[in-house]
Amino acid sequence: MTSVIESPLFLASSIFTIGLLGFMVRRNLIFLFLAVEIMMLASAYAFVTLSNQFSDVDGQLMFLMILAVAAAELCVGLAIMMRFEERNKSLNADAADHLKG
Amino acid sequence: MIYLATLILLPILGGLFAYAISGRSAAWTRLITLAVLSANIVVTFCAFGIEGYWDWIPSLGASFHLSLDGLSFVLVLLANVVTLVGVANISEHSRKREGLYYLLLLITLSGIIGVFMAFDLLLFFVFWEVMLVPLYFLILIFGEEQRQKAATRFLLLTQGSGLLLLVSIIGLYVATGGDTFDYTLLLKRAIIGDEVLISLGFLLAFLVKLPALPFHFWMPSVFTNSPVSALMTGILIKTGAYGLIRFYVPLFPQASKELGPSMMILGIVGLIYGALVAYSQRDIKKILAYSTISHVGLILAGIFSGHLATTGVVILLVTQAIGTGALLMLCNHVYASTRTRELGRFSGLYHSMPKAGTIALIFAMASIGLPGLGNFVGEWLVLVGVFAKDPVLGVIAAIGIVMSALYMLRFMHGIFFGEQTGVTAPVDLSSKSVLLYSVFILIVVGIGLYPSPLIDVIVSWHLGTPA
Amino acid sequence: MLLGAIPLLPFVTFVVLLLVGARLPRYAISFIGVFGIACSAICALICASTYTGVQTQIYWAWIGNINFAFYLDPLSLFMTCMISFVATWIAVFSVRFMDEEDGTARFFGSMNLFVASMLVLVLADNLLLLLLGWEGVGLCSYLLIGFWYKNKAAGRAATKAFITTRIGDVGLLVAMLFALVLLGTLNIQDLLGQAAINWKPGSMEATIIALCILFAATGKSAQLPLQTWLPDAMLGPTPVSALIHAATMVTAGVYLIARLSGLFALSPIAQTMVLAVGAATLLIAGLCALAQNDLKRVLAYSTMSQIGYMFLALGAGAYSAAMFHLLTHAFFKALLFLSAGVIGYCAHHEYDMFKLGGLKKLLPLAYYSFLVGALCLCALPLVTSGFYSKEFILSGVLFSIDGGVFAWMSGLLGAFVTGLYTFRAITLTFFGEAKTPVVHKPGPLMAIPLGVLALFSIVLGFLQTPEDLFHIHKIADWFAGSFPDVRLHSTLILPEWSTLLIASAVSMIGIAVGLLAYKKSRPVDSVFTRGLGFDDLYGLAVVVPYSFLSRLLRRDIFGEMALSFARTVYSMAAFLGRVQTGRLTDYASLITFSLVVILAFLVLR
Repeated sequence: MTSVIESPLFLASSIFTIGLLGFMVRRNLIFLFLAVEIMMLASAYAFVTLSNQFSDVDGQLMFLMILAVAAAELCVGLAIMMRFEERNKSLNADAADHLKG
Repeated sequence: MIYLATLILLPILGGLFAYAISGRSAAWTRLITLAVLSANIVVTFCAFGIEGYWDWIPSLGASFHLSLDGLSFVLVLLANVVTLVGVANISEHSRKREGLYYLLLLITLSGIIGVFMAFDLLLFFVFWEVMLVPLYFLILIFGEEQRQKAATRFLLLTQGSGLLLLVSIIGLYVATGGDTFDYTLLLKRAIIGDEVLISLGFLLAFLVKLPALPFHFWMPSVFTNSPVSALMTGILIKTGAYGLIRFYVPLFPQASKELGPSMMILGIVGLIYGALVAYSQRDIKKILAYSTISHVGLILAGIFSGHLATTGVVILLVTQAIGTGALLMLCNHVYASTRTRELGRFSGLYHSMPKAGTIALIFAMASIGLPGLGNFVGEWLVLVGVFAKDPVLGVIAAIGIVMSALYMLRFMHGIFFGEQTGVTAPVDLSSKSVLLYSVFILIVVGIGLYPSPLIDVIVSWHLGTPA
Repeated sequence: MLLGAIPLLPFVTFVVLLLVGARLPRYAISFIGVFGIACSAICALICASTYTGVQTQIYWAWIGNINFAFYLDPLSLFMTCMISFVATWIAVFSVRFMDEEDGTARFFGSMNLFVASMLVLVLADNLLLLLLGWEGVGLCSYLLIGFWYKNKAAGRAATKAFITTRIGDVGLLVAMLFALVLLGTLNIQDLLGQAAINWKPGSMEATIIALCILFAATGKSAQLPLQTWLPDAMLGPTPVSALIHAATMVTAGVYLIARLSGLFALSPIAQTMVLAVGAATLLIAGLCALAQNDLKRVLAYSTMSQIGYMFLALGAGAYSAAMFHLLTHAFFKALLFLSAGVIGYCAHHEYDMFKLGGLKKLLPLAYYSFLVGALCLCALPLVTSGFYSKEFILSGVLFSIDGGVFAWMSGLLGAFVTGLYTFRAITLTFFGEAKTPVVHKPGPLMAIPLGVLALFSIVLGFLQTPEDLFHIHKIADWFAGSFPDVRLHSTLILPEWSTLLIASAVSMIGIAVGLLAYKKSRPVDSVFTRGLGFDDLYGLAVVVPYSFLSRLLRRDIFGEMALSFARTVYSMAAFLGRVQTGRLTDYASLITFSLVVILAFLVLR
């Protein structure tokens, strides 16, 4: 039994936490975007690891799926960002708090 | 069958057409609207007694099942006539977005007609929702002060209760075997399960629409708004009573037996309460609004008092819509020359408006149940029914009817008696208006003196339903 | 056919006047207005002369099994002739009276509608149709009291009259509902027949219905406890007071009880109540009349008092006496009111007796016609109709088991008071020095109706006279079989001629005292002037609580309660809505935090 730190799942959750913290702390949309990507990759990594562990191909399929989603999301996200910058003259996410209750 | 479809489609198509040409000629827009309404009246007569059936969603057991029996006929005719007179009585000054106005009006009418004719519960629900939305916009766009509040209250309450209605319809569907929404088939089915619980959604939706006592507060704000939308509201609320008569009582005999007595008490409380509140209102339209709430109490009590009283209720629905409609239009006429609706800020209008005063008197007398005018026939039949079920309630109802004289005479006294004050430019009714009001007067007097044909038409409906 | 025309003709003229009245010249309006009523009177008289027996005329089915049908019997024929005949002469009088007023079409239209409704009331074959006439006359009374609509006080008086009588109408409505549910019919003859078969004398059901009917009758006939509206109703034009508030409408209550006499015969309690109401009203109203300063109000209270006599007779079971007094009263009271109308017309509508005076010289027409009416009212022995009808009532009351000595004594006391207040009014109005100038002259259109009414006021008395005096009994014969028999004492308390003498003496003394006592009197303001405080009492007991309750509810408490529920939901939403900051990072934090909590809960459970 290897130590917990050497476990790939630990690595995955660490990366995910980094991404999550980044998402919660940062304001700049580009950084938020990066944080989301990091979280997705962390989960993708966890899928691959578990796929390997259980000898099940579904996890790898999910990895491919996540890659595709990430790419698609990137396109849409960047487009939104462009519009956002145009509109608010900044990339600060807090500039768009019109939905507050 | 084609007649029935025409009744519903003609207003919508006519409205769209009127809307399309409204940019070019306001006069033509109005003319087309009037023509459509008149044609619809003719079609109503042609379609009397016809029943039609088209497939809609066979897998669910839903269909376009329409019928124009005695009950529906009377109410459809009423809706058409009142709308026709109301539209014809709109003053000639063109308003902004006139086309849209007529379009919304006609779609509302179409929804109301659909509600009165649908013999399939799912179809009924669709029409039930269809009539609300255009009326919401009619109030919102063409209303007067506080129109947003009025429109929101109206939509939230009626739409919210409409959802409960849908739940109950589905509940009934499941409880009767889950293969048909057809009214005539459902009448013969036994309900498996808690009948009262299933019926609650129906009851609530109809009570809100009536509007019966605790749910009435949406109405005064709508009534004080623009004239024709108030007129439409006057017809719209008849769908609540219609729903109770057509669907609630026959479909849920057990539940209406169990809840009937408490509904009668609720109705009589509403009758007294409405009369009390109406007496101290300052706004003349609010007096009418609470007088309607008061009369609705009697209607509610009548619905649960057997066939005879139900016949009376239908007569009351007709005369109520006409009488209150006429008084609302007169209030509007008064408002045009006083710029206020508050009693005490003006008086003595009879001096310059003898015609309006005379007509107002006739409808005020009808409203307080003077024998010889239509309302009395209905009130009498309801009173007999209520009294036969419960003499104490009957006596209280008789007192309540007399109380209506208090606020109605205050209404007349405040507007027409005294030296003329607080009036900027009084104008009496034009001959065209007098002619239109005479149509209403003829109907009310006709029903009052010779109601037998109307009663026969209404009673023909009872023959098909269990006692 | 002719029967239907009697109420139809005035109704048609009403419709004509309603539709085109505003465009017609004054003389045409007056002509049409009088024409309708006069034709109806002619039809009624033809009906009377060709009358062969009871007949029912069904026109159409009205509501359910209740027909729109007229019923002609001695009672309804009697009333029909009286109403249409008196109304004709009052209408003729009004032509002159109204010749300088606006709204002649409205006036004559309402008068015609009134006559039509009143005739429907008396001819109705069933109670529902009777109610139509009953409410119709109420409406016309409202319209005509409020004829001078610019005077807010007139409007208030009109409203008060309408509401008060309508409160009484609850009684009629409830009685009808009971009758329909218990006996299954509203047809008056069937109803009486059924009641006689199904209910024993003194039965609960008959008593309830009869008391409800009595309540309705007190409203319409201005008897205790619903009498307060009649004095205020004098704000209407004087011919209206003559027709509606003296001769016809206020006697509708008497007619109703007489019509349903079979029902009252089943209920001794109700019968006694009628007697008590009559006795109390005739005394109280007589005393109030003594303390009035306004000529028309004196007449109004005297009307109440005289109708009290009719109730007294009804209560004693002497129905034909009540009807006889109803007939003579209609003529002499109409005469009195029209004479007052002459004064009003010629002296700027001044009716305050202390501002009038000395009119004997200035307006001899008014004086002599008033005098004839007054003598009839005071029952001057031998020559006036009032004497014979009152005597008929008093002897009936005394000798009937249902009446009694006390009722008779109250009647005598009332007769004395009548003499007092009548000659007080004459002294103040016609004697002494003139204080108000006379600006108009009454024309022949006023003189002729006064003459006719005065003539009838005298000759009608000879339709029915006591046994010891001529012994004519036309009225008793006419109504033979129409009413339950009077239950007479087997032995007479007093010989009849002595009661005759006592009654004559009492009225003579009343007249003499009245002539002498009021030479130098001042305006009075006592509790009697204000109608014994009934107005204040009802104000405190009914009007104030009602308007208080109404004002309390003005904001629509139920509606507010329902709305406050909505407001609570709204404020809760506003509170929770603060979580919604609109910031992406806050949401992320919230999601993370919630996830951690949920996971922790799942793991540590």
